[in-house]
Amino acid sequence: MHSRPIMVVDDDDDVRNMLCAVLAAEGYPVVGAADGVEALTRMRHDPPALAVVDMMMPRMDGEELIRAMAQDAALVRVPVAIMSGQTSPSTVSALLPRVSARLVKPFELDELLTLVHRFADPPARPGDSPQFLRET
Amino acid sequence: MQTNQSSYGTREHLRLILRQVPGTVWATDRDLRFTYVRGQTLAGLGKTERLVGRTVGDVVRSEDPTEPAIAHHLAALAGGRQSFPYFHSGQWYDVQVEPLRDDSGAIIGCVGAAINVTDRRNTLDRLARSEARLAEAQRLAHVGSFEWSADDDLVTWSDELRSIYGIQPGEAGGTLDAFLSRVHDDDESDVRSVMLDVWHRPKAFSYEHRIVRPDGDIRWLHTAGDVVCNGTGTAQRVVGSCWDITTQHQTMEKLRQSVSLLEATLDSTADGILVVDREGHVATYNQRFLTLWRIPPSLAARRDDHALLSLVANQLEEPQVFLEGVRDLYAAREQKSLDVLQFNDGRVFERYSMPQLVDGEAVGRVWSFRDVTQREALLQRASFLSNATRLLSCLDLNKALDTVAHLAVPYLGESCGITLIGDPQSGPPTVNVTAGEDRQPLEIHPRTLAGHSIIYSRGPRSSMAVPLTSRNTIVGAIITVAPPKRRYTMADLELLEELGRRVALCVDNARLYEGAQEALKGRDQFLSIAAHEIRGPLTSIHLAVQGLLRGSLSPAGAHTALEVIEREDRRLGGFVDDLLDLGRISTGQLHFDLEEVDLGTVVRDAVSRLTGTLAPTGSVTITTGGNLVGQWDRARLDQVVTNLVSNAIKYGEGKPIEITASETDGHVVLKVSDHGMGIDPSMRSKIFDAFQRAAGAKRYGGLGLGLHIAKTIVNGFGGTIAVDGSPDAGSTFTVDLPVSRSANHAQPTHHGGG
Repeated sequence: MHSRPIMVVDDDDDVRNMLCAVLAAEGYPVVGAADGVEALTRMRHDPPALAVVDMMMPRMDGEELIRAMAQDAALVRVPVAIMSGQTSPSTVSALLPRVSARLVKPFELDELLTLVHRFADPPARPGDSPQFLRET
Repeated sequence: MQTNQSSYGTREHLRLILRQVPGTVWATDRDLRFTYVRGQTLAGLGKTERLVGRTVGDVVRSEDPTEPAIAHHLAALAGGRQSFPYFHSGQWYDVQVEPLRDDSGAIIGCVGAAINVTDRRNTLDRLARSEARLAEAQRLAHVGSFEWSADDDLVTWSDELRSIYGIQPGEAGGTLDAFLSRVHDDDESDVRSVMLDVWHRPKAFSYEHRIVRPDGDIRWLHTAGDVVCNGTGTAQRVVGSCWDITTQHQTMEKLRQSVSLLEATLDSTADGILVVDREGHVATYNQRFLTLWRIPPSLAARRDDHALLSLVANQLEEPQVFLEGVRDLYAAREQKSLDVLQFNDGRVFERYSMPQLVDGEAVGRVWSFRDVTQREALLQRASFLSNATRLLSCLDLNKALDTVAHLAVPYLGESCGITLIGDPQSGPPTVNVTAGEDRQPLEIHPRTLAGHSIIYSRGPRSSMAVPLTSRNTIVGAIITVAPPKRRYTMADLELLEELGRRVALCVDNARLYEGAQEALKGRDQFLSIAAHEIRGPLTSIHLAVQGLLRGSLSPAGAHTALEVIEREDRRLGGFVDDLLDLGRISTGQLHFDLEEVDLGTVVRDAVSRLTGTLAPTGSVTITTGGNLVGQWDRARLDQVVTNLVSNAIKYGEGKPIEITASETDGHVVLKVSDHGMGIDPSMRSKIFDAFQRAAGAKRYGGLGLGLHIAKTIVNGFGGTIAVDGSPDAGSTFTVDLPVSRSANHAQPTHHGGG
């Protein structure tokens, strides 16, 4: 069975790379994207089990991405966890139906892993078949 | 007695004669028996003839030899002539009794005669009583009297007169001179001439004079008198009455002085005074009253109360109300009042009224008027300025100016406009409020824009305009237009200037407040941006450390983690440095270590350091020429170059970046161009401010301090930095630096890109 990946969307390279590294270390297949446009492209190609989305990004930010996903039949059911430091509560509550969880930066690794565990397909054992896709 | 025919005729004749005598005669014998009685009937004694044959004792009904009638007859028998008064049966008689001698001289009886003097005596009594009463009356009334007869130069003094003169009986001299000697020296000749005059031309007289009493006391006397003349009109005596009027005189003197003082006071007071009687008729007034009410003296002299009241009432705004008020006060006699009267011509009077009381009873009313026009005007002016200041304390500039403009109508004029001119380059006025009749905004007179307060004509109307000055700059103007017929005066202009000062202060305050609010907003924004920006590095570091501690990372993952930690750590360090620099800049502590630095080298080093972050399709072209060596702080110069190049990369959208450095005439010029999103022209000067970020501040991270710090450094080197370009066509930043500050021609730093 094809394990759906976890999509990590954040323009900050280091945040994105670290998220991918720690998730891969847990055995989850992971895909990264630097902004909403890239994320959509990749998601349409391979719908993820969970999208972890940063709100502040260039070209298409988190809010726009989530709305776009809601419009897309293939993506409408993809659970979204948002990462934010500064998103206003009004924006968050507006998006609420589509947001399954919220991570406030800087968050604990355990928090992240608990969240991922809830939504994602069970991971392969670490080291078995790393499907860690490093973002180019 | 023998009687015969011839003696009968004689007796008869004698009887007739005796009957004419107003008295009674008799003869008695030695036994005091009446032998002959003729004359008037003696009271209570019956007919005279019947007395013959009776004794004196019978008649007086007494045998007592000491009884006066008997005693005197006996004495007469003894040879003595008797003359005595005798009272009998209510009548008084003067009696004479003499011995009757015969031819040989022997006493054969008495002869007596009695005259009824009752009337005379009564008269004398009455006279005496009268005189006594007169004297008593004089004494009680302290009225003295005198008589003077010029013929014998005799002056008689009454007791009371002597008392008034303070002299003892006997001390008063009887002559006119003596009389006059007691008169005060200054009055003596006058008194003397009066006396002599009335003697020669008899008439009633009166005069006042002073006398000097023996103890030196000077008294004032009033003398009134008349001249008694005989049938031919010749003066016989002058009679006069005197009384001491010293007290009254003193009182009169005091009264005269009081009246004089009162008149002087009335005329010197600044208030107009009018005194009326109970019915409202004018009793008296002072000159100021006439002046205040502009009453012609002819009208005042006429004493026509009605005309006066009309003239007065018609000058007022509400004559009817005034007249009613006056009537009410006349009706309420005891009432005081204090009122303000408004005139048609704008004057304002205060009127105070109170009853004139004599012994607690209102006999009239006193009105006092004071022209308080000036005082009221000052009060109004102060009140206006105070209200304006209160309204101007509002920090909402538009609202403050609007309420003040409305306050000024109609006090300052029919219309009032306040205009604030904005930045002349950016167009229309920032605030424009108008109140009153003129709905259109009032344009500002060019002289006012040049800084002058002026009064001028706006068509048929008088108008005034005052510039609003804040920190030596003209920021606007305040204009008023007068209603028809009013012409503005210097006093009006001064008031407007005063208002203008307060308005300018308000504008200043509002702008400072706005500025402060902006600054706070900027700072808050910065703080939130900074906090946000810091979260990124912290998130990465956190994940990296926790991932490493967990121990589940692959070797590649662990390596990534360590790299991330290092990189983000540096990034955080950069933030701290930026913040510290900002702190140094704001406290003026940015120091340079100057040394010989080659700009070209700095550029190349910076580019190679940054190239790792370039987007794949990007490229950087460096073009250098000339001698690029100068006296600068190497690290700070590097900071500037790094900032410009990294911005070009960040905002360049991956398109080529060109960097050129050249040298001219003691200056080096560095240009960094990108072809990315560009900068809106309106932001060109703002991007060099602290915390300012170009379009989409939310999306690009960074603290927004880089350019601000770069500009400060460039300015610190004595140079300039500017940007141009257009949205979507990219930006070119140009830095112009003098090679060294000492060789620098003074470069004024100015806002907006220098």
